[in-house]
Amino acid sequence: MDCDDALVELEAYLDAELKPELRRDVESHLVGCSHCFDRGEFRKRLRDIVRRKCSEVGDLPPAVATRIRAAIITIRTD
Amino acid sequence: MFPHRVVCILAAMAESGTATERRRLEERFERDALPLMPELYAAAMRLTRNPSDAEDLLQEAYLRAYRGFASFEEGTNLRAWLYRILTNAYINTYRKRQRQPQTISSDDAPEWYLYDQLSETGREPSAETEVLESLPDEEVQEALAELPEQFRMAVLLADVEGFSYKEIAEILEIPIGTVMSRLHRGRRALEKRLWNVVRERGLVK
Repeated sequence: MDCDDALVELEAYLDAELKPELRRDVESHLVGCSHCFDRGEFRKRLRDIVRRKCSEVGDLPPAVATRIRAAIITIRTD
Repeated sequence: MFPHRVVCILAAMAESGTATERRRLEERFERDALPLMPELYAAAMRLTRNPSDAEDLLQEAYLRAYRGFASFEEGTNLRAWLYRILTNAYINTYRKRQRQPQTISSDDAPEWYLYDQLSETGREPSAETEVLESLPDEEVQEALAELPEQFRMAVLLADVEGFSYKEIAEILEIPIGTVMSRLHRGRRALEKRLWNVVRERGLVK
């Protein structure tokens, strides 16, 4: 597998969506190629950053949970 | 013909069967679906980006889920099922209201645009993401929010909520190939916006 092939598969590889055989091919390319390895590491770190920075959105207010439970009970007894 | 008494007994039995079934569904909803509410609330916050809309969306989704719970096949992916209802409710109510253009913008960025730009600032290969790490949460969330809706939802579901391609395909009711292309284009568009943020904030020369 050359760089072009590896980079085409890189996204699905990082998403853990490749079939085992293809995954092994990409892996063995990355191990021996710093050009592609660096790009893979970059995308992996970037994804972690996006996840972390978009995760903190505040907790569900208990009053909202209570309101929704009450609304469910209302339609239950309809 | 059955005697009237027998018909009455049969009807009562059928009714109690239905009642038992209904009670069983309610218990299952309580046990399996309600505990996911905090997680669904966070997802609603990410979609609507404000608490009052998120609360309304969450309630709408849970009422829909409750009404339709009989159609949920026990043992299949409840989390994805609930996300599908939430996402549909969002698309039908909020997106309509916002009247966002449905067209996919043509701002496709080159595959390694952000990586190349950051590399050019002369950093070590391993340090390229440091500048992104230094961005405030709000800036990253804003960059994501600016993406065309279809891209944004794919990126949110994959990179923030952690769903697989197959699950995203189920949630958005689109083929897996479409998931992959929206994800690919969405991530590249996000990278391009992140680069703009980095530059605007003067974090690179």
